Amino acid sequence: MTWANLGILGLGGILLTVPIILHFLMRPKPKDIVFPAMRFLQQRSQSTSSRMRMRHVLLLLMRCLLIGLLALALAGPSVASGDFANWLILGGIGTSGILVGAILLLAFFRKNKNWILIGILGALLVGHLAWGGWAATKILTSETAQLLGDDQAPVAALIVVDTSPRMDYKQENKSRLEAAKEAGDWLISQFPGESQVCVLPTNNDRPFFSVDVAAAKRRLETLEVDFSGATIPATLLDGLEMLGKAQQERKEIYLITDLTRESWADENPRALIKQLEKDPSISLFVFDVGVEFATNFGLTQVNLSDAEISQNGTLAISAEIQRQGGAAQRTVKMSIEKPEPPRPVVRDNKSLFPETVFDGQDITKDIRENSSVPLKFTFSQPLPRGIYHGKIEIEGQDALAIDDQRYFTIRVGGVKRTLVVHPENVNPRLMEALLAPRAKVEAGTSKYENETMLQEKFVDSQALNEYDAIFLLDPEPMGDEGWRKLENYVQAGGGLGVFLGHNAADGPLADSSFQTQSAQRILTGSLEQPWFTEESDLFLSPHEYSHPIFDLIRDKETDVPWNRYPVFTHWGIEPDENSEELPTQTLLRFGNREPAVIERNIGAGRVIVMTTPVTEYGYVEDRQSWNTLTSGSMIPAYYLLRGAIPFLVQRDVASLNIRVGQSASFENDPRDYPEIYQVFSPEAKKPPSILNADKKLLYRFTDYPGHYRLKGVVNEQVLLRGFSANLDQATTDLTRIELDRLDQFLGAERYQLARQKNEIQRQQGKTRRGQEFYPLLLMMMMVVMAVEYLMSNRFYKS
Amino acid sequence: MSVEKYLKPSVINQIKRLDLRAQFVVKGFLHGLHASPFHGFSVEFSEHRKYSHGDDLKDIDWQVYAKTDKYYVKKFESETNITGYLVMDLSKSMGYTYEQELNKFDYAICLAAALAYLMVMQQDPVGLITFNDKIRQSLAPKSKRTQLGNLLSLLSKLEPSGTTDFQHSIGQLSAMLKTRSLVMIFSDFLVDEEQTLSALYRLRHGGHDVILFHVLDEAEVSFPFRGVFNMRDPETNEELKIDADGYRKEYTEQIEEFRESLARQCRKSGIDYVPLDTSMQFDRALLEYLLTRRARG
Repeated sequence: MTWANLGILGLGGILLTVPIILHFLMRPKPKDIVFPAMRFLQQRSQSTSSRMRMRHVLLLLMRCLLIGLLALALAGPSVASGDFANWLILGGIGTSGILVGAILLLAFFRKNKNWILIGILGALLVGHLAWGGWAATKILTSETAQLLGDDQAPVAALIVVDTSPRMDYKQENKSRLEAAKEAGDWLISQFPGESQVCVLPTNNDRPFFSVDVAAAKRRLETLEVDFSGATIPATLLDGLEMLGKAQQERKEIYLITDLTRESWADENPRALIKQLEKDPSISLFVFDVGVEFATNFGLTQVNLSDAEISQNGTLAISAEIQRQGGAAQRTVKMSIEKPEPPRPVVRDNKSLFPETVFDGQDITKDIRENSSVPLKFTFSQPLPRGIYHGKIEIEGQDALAIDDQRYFTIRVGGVKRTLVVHPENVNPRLMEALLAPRAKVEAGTSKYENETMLQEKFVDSQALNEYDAIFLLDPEPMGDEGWRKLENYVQAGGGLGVFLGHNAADGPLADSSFQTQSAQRILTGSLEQPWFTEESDLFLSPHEYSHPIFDLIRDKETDVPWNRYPVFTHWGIEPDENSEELPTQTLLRFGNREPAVIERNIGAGRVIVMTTPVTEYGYVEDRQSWNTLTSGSMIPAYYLLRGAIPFLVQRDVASLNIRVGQSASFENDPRDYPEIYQVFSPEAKKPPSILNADKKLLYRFTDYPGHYRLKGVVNEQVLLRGFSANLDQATTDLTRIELDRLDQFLGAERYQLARQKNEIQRQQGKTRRGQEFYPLLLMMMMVVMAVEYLMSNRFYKS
Repeated sequence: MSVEKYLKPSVINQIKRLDLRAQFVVKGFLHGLHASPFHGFSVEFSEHRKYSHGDDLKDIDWQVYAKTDKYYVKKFESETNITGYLVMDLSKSMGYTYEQELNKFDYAICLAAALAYLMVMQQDPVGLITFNDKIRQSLAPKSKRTQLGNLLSLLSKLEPSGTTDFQHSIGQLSAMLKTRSLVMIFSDFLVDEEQTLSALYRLRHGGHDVILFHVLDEAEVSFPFRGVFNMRDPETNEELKIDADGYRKEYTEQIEEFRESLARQCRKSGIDYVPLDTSMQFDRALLEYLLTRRARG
């Protein structure tokens, strides 16, 4: 049995002496009077005085009982076992009921019946019987009785602490994580000795029980905001598995979270609820440290006009500033770091990064309540070749500061060389215009230097390696040699785009040269036959926009009018997506689910195959047009090709700007690049790690948002590379989860939600300590008060 | 109505002279009787007769004389004489009152005086005997008007003292009474019940009519005490510490039983028992006397 206020019990004990002292020591002094008829008093003196003594003792007992019950009620007793509690309740109700019944009998058999009193007593007795019946039923149907037991018995506790970036939200100068740590620390101190405690942050850590309670507290203290994006359900599932193996009979789970929707996102509730249902004796508490009406400024993802620009190129940077809360004004600053060799370096166990920036730009915007405002910066200073890090940043204070910065990295390089190959009957003008617009070529700001070649010449061409990417437009049949030459080119790191069209046909079927093993290695599978439709009802139908070729479409997916550009004919290919040697995936399909755009990686390079051409400009002579993709304003084709070109030409440029948690991958030709890098994390306190790179540079541990700087030495020259990692925009969404949704994960009646320590104490007490007796004691006090009143009235009736 | 107020002990206490007290009590009582079923009772005169020598001049009806110019005297209905004895308990317990105007002794004296007045008015001889452990004073019965003065003078000098020996005292009284008399005993009878009754039986066997005026203090009947008391018997000086609240019910039952038992025993042996307490009006006692008087007459 535990006591909420043990001190009150001691005070009650002292108070108990008051009626006893009054009874024995402070008896009133008798008044002396003369009374002649004393013999009538003397006759029954003996029996009357003993009865009086008995009555006094009874009254004293009742008064002591009253004080005792009051002290008991205030001391807040509770027992661990639900079953034991029910027995105690039954005992209390029984005792009280017997008392009430006895008085009822006395009242009933009195000469002068007081029917009101009898009625009240009767109702009280019925109430007692009902309550007693309820307690008895609970005992009979108790399921958890065997699982509770002694209150001081140790528990196995799993404390899941939400360490998402949202927990960095500050209110009253305290972040949610700090509030969570406080709550967790308090919780740990509540556990009985010998308890096993596991502090489990939502950072994909393996769950384990700390050696002792102090170790658990230390672990809690070291928790930091984590960007890995593990959700609470996933973390809880891991923790439940471990908790299931614990020896203790009593198991408790505490979720300390801000209850934002994102912490529960993208998870299937069934898995968790099924796991929870396995052991219903586990008590589950949700401690809400979140803020009901949060206010925040935040920046959306940064969009760069190009992640790689030429030395004289112009960079356009766009993003949006979002406001959650009331209208406000904010200034957003864009800056790009100036390289400061030898930085980054480590001094005094701290990484030093460049501090100077090129002339930045400030934009001040008024943002309306719960809305967003677009921002656009341009940067057009000539830059030497290299990697440049920049950021845009909201100035001023904000409750959640973590989404006030967005980072970006650009590469300034030389002009890339591309080759467009086409048969004589195919016009390459669209591809030429996209790669090297005449105006930019003349102005010297074109990113690509393009060459166009007829296919018959291409077959004899030898120096393919000088091109960064080759685009094969509606190719004619060619021998295996040609296909093998292309494979070698891609193997060496080149980018190849193949846009199949009518030239691949031999009558109603594909020409056999497109079906050879060598051709299939490039084309991702055997070319079967063209698929025709005479109706204008087949369109490109994208479902997934995560691939870099959709970079320009991703944010305006609903604006692209796919169904205005019908496709009449396309090649049927069954891509071999299971090949381990040549990883293949379908990026875009037609409405009939046939592949439209397929990607294949061969060695260090990559191939994109499109099963319908991009050279059918409206009317075509002598035959039916294959599609209308390049007629009219040709929006889908434009966006698609604009995305595919850099993917093929620049190859690893996509890794310059990634999300936190993603891997960054770059080419690393040992002839040009170092084999060992120092990787400087955005956390200046974190020492740089060493990364060994072979032909490919792969860095997986992008745990923090910011700039990652890679430093290595090649040919005795220091070489700097790098990339930026940003938080996913949804990560800092402070929208709270609806309780209905929470119920779906945890079960409607399965958990108890608390916002204050005392709530969780009460609820924890209710669950862990079985039952409190405050109402029962109050009821018993009322009965004793009534009895005492009746007795004193009866004994001292005038 | 104005005269009837003198039947209340609280009012009569304001009159210090005993003769006046008696007079007021009786007048109040008689005034009340006129309007009662007892109208025409033996105390009323029934006719006039011509004055003859020797008649008391006070009996002449002057109103009739004024009308007829002849002397007439009032003739009462009952001309039978009864010898009455007022027997007063002098014991110390009689001097007790808790919160009344008159203590039991004063109440008894007042009542006795009124009765004496009434008897003398009816020309009945009346005597007085006082006792505690034995007979202390006695005044032989006479019906003269002067007897009233003597009797009242003696009554007013009495002081309650000593203990009661009822059996002995009444035994003495029985021996003293030669003729059949009406014995009116004023006492609280806070003595052994059996001895009291045996003494009374003896008196009754002597052919006397006995009226017991059982005078108790109002507090002795209702037991109004609250709290703890150290009670002392004024006669024996015995002490008893009690919690009055716990004793009340028992006590009132006891005293009631005592009075009922006395009444029952008295009824059996033809003794009139009049239970009184000091808060009661005097007419109850006077009426009892008259009822007895009529039965005898």
